[in-house]
Amino acid sequence: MFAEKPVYLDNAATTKADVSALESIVKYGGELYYNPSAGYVKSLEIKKDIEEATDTIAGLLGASREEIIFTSCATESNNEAFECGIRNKKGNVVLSAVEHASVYESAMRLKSRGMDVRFVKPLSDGRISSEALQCVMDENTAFVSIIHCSNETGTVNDIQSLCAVAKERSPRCVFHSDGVQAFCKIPTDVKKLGVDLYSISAHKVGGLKGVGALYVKKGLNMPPFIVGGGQQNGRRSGTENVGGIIGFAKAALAYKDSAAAFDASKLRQYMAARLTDDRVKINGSEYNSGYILSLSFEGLRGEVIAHMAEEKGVLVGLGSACSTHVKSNRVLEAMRVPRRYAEGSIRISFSPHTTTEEVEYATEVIAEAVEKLRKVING
Amino acid sequence: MDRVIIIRYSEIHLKGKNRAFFENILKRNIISKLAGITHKTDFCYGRYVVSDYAESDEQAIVSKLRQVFGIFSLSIAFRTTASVDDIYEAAKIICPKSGTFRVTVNRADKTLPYTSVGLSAEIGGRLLEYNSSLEVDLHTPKSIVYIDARDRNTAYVYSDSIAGAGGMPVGSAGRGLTLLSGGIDSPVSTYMMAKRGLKLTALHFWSYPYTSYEARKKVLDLAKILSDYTGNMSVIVVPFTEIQEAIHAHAESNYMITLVRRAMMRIAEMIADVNRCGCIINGEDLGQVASQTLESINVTNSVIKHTPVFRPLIGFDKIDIIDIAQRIGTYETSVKPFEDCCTVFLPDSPVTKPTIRRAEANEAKIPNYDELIVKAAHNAEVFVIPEK
Repeated sequence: MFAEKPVYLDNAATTKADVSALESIVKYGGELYYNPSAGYVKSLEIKKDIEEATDTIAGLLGASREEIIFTSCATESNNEAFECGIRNKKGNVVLSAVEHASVYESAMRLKSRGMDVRFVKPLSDGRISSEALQCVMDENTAFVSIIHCSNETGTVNDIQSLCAVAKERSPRCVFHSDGVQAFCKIPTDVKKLGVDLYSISAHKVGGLKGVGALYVKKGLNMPPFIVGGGQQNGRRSGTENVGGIIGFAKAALAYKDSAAAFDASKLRQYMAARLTDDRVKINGSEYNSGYILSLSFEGLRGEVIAHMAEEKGVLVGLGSACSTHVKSNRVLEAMRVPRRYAEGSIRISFSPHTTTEEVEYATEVIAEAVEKLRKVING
Repeated sequence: MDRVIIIRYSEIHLKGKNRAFFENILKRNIISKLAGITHKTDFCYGRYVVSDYAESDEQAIVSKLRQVFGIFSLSIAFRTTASVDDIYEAAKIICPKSGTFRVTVNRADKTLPYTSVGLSAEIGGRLLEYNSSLEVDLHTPKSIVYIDARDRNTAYVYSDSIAGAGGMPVGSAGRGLTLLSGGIDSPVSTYMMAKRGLKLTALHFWSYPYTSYEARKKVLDLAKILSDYTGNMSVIVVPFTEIQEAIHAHAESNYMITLVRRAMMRIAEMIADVNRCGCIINGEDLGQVASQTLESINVTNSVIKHTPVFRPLIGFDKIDIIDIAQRIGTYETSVKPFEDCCTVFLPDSPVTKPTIRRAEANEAKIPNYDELIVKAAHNAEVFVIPEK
């Protein structure tokens, strides 16, 4: 049944592009290919379309148009946050130990330049507690970055409380959150969350690869990360990826609508219930977006399970696709998942287009693979 | 006067009556290497000359020729008539702007109206008149102007020689089967035996799903890099999963690697026979890992019935192997993190001093062992890597 069209359960890595995103690329690459910065009437029309798209993205985040900067990806957004969002260069930087590689590496770069970079250890379920954050911060903390929804486990942090705690401990600190896996899946009203910076990506919600955005709270005087022709009011130079940006807005709206009618948690619970036993650990807590199920099988190898599933037409991930080839899993290690479990980890992630039948089939395939592998390894 | 590239071959000149055999293979390899570039190649006694090419192709031709085994050195030269005036015109271009120099003449045609010493003095004198910044030093000159006067119509004038790849022409020593794992060592052993004139077929054991498609692609990528030196090469990929699972299920765990390697050697010999390969090559390096101790190599080798096994790296330090891998361009690919062997099958403490008796006793415990070996060899898949 699924031999020709694979069951795709690696949606945290990327999602299938929405038709509206594809149409936008064709439209703004073909019929309306003009540079939005030019002075022709057609360019002005395109500029207006970009503004509308900006309004849409801003609306989905509870922000206003001038608070959105489009970037080339969320990795750029995260890099920008770290490079340009720190006002007090003598202060310290605090981030969780379970961040995405782009956040972690940005922080490590600051550390190599001599900055005081501190990590907040997660609870064993991957969440960051207010107490732990408070302990690591002090009144000189200049920048805090806590992931909203973990790309490895789907665990959701209470950003609203963490942000409040951070601002209380160091009122002048800038609070950034990587919202890539949260956007359009769980509430991401930046005003309610209280964050100063928030990163999102298009291709995780049906947009195309090559587009991301960074929310920058009004009043936060941040220099541009990329300088040049002064596009986006000088905040991010480079000719706008018109089709990508407009497609991002349309796809995100469509995704949000589909997500509203979709119960990811139900599918997640179904799989978790059938795939777990005393030799399997579910990584993460009940505070989960529902879109990611991270499982660790004791004594097995995640990549072997994934290959066996792929043979039967089921595609799953091995943790963050950005760090698939890194031998140890930094995030699971930080969550104190024992190595004999961590090596046997797979990441299953859903999209609003995932069907119950697909999940049932995938569950059966993974269960069979695990059973076979256990037999081979344990004899 | 035109620009040409002189090719000198290496050990072939030591050959006797069968020299033509080696020369012909080298010719064929040069022609095949330069396919696609407009040029003319003349094959004369003791050297080959590439001419009539576009100047913009010159560097590409030199780079390609430097990868052909059997070539000792190359020189970019000016070809003129053997008249003193023409030779001087070429020497003017070749000669450095300043510093010490010497003129060395080789006069192949003894009927030419000058002696070697006389021509050196004449050309050297004219060059000194032409450029007063030059100074003659016959013993330790900074540069040498070589004049090779072949006959009345042909003289070559050049200064530097570029080192070639050395070795013997690929194909002149017969055909070999090289085991290519995807690590650092096996591409180097492949390179080294191609250098000794073997035409190679590569063999890779693939344990999907315990290893990945990326691991297999890595091996094919390595073969592509090696094809610069080896010419076109077939990569035979043997599905090894079933054998590995059977060994894991039935044999003592500390003998896992020994048995796996014995199975690989058995299959290698079968495939070598079918492909008319007269030898098997692997990248073993004495003492590098548990499977490469003297005892392990002996136990592994004992399954081979009649084919010689060459281990060109046996006495190398790892650092020297890495050096060669970096030089031939395989290192960057070899260190990509796609493992060629799944760690789920690796025992905690593999045996370092296995015995043949115990290895055979373990193999006897595996049901249908011989059938599994034959089946794996039979189900091999062949990928042809064309010469770049």
